[in-house]
Amino acid sequence: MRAARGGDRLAFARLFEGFAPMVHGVLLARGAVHEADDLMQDVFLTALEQLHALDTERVGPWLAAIARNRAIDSFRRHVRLVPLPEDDRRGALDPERAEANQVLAIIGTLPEAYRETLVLKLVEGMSGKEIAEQTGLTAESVRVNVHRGLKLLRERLGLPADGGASDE
Amino acid sequence: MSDPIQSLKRLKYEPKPGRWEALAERSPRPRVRLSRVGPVLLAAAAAVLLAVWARGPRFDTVVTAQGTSRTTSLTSGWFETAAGESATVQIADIGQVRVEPESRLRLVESGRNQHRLELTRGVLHASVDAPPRLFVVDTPQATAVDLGCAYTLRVTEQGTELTVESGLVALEGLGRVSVVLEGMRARTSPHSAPTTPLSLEASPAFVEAVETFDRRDDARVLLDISNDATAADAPTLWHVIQRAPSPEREMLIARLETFVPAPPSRSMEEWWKAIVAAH
Repeated sequence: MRAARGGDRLAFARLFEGFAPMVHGVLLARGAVHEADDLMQDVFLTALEQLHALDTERVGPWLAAIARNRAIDSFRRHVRLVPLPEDDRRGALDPERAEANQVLAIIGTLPEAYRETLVLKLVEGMSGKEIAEQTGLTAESVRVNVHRGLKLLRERLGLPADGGASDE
Repeated sequence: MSDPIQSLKRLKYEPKPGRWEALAERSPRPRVRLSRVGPVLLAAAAAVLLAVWARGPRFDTVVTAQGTSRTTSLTSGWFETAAGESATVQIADIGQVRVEPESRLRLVESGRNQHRLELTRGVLHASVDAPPRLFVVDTPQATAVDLGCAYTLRVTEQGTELTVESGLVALEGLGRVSVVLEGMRARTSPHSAPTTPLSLEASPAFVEAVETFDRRDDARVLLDISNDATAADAPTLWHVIQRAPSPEREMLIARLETFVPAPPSRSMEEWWKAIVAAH
């Protein structure tokens, strides 16, 4: 951490890997599904450029803020399109991934407060404690967001209310 | 039946060891730090910044009430029209915005790349002649991105309604974009993404079916959407296809092809261009 703060780019790169799932989840939660990998690279390079401003106590929230801004910029630049059936080769080969994209799209219709927390939990597999530590949210907010968001998601998917991931 | 929520794990981040180190080594060094810039240059830059900040961007505005008018400026501070009062805001050199009574707006940004307003209440009519995406209006629920057009934006506690008089506007919010063409409308409401754009001349049955699909993503209404669509509804069908599941999606594609043939490339983007051209 100290080396990264001192401007050591390789040290920062190693540090970034620990936050990469969170950054990835933040991008997915804002609808950047197909371009998430490219945007992660943008987030990393932006963070690298601003390394001198790094607050070692708040690395996660700082990266999350950069990721949110990058996702919004990308969203404003592109109208998202789905391919016609003949072009949908990846979807045809991987129906489970197509189903995951559909569930993610439904998460995208939930209130904003729930989306990011749900994606970090359900996609990235982060615990409530990890989500709170890395995003800067309080543990209580994370717990409430997961609980309410999951309830709403199951309703919209037409699933019974009691199954699936726990909300810790 | 498997739990669809479990499928989300397929989208999980996949680490590639060494990726970030390799990128860090390839990326250019951060730019020169301020501490290395001469103090005189710093002072001059600070003076310029201070001058720009003190003035801030502003648009000339004429406020009219009961036959009399006064001039003022729209700035980053909130501007409100009273009952019986309307205003015309000159948006740099690209057009005008007419603001109806009891509206509340402000100037967020004005620069070479973007002019941006925020409307939190009331009605705004924009008439803009500019490259796409140069003029943008944020509302509490969505963002209207001008793609070269004239339109009306109405903001109430129930949501935002966009009606396009000419050209096209993208209504963006909550991860969804509705591109609204001339003679069409779309809405947003709190916690909801923009609705599918609908022709002002669409039949009540078609409107009802599309609005039901927007509210509930209920695939059962897709047959009604397909049956009730007319040529004027081609842009609506294009939007619905993006979200429709199979096999209803293929049915809608076939229906849209009866109005505007699909391009040889089978690209939705190319098809959209053909739909806009035919509209």
